Amino acid sequence: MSFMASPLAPNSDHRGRHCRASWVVLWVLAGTALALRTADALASMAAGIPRGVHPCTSLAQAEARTGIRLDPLRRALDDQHLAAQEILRTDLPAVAITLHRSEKAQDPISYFHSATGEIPDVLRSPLPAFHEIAVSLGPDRTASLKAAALADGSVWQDVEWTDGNGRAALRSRGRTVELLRLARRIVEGSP
Amino acid sequence: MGRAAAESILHGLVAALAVMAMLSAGRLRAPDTRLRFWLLAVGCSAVLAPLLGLLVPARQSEAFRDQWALFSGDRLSLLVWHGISAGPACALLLALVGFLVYLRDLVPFLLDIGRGQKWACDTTTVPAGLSASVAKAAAACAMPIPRLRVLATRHPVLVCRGLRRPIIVASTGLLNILSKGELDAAIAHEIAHAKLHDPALGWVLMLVRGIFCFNPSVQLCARAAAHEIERRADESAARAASSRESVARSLRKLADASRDAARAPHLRAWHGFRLAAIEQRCQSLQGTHPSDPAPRWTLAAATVGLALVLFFTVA
Repeated sequence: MSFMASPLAPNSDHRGRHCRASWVVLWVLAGTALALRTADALASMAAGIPRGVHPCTSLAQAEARTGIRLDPLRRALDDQHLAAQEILRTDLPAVAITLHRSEKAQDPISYFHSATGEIPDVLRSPLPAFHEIAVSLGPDRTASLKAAALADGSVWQDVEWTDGNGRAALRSRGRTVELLRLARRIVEGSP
Repeated sequence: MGRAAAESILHGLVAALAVMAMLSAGRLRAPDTRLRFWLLAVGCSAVLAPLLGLLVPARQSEAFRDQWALFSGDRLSLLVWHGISAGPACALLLALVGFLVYLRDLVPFLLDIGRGQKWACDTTTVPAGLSASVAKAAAACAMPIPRLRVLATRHPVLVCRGLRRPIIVASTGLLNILSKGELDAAIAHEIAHAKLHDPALGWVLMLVRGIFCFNPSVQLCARAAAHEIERRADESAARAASSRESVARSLRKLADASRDAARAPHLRAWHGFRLAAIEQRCQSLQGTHPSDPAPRWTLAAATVGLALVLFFTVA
């Protein structure tokens, strides 16, 4: 008796058909999910804004969405002739605001504020600091000033201080004195 | 409203591509199976997307988009080129394509209805040979003999109409060009449509296409479903007439006659797609027999799986 004539043949063929169909459905669905996830990641990468980060059109919108008071920053910006260029927020809640000086082509300054604790890495990329000191921003207010050198030779500075339950920070590769002046102005305006 | 339309387009695209991949990878050639899968793709756009929007509005929240969504259309909206956001631009472009595809099929459909209305007034007595063919095909399909009407026109006409009580409409022009065997095959094809209530399904598809005229995947999947409806009737006719060759021959003859009828160049262009589809059906009839239908649970698994994937896909 040949295999095809055996009573097992129809069953094995039947099983094979079911097995093949289940693999096809499984692979196609998994492939679809993977393709969607990849498309989402590619779009995020192309836009330069990671997942979980949302752009805001104004400081008022960022305040409304995160609940973080940005009045001290607003006053400091007026004093220092700075304007908010790009405003990003996360649901944490935290904000990252890129500031630029309108009349001079200078390096921008980034302001970060997290209401609950550490500033998330998606807003402020970690820098390998080679130098860290404590600086005073006013009576009973100290901050940590860090400096880090990148592979392209540029030196970046971070000033970070505690603000209530949260943290605030400024980052720039410009002059340290300007960074500290802005930080002091923001701290002065804080409650 | 705009977001709901964009979600329908997005879900339709994902479902259409997934169905296409399943049909191709699974080598699913049986028209019945293919029809069900294409209807599933149409349903994902036309039913699932609006249902998800109504029943689970939380899917539109930022938290869902950030933490759970596989794909969020917001990501595309962040891509801006010369002040134009990629998300809305893609949605508008796809909607335009959908509308053009809809118009592309609507115009010949309306022209056919218009011609049918014109010829409908001029009926003639039913020839005995035709009645015999219909009775034979109905017996082969184990269904009651449907009503029959013959139009007195030289143009070849053979359609199955009627939502509840089917009616076969033929023309004297048809009887002049088809041989006895070919006529039997062509009648068996229309009887198969009547038995499977295809005219009703066709109207439902046209209605869905009208409502979702902006959705290119609904248009293309409904068109593919209509093609499978015809293939299903072809296979049924081939079984009833015991000859795949005569079904293919009758199809070719009717296609040639309709091409000759469309003498004006712009009408020939409209007929282009239809003729290509008929040629594909003839080749399918003359080629290998379609494989067995896929196991029924395949469609159920694909439906559940696609619904899950689309739940986590937000425009």
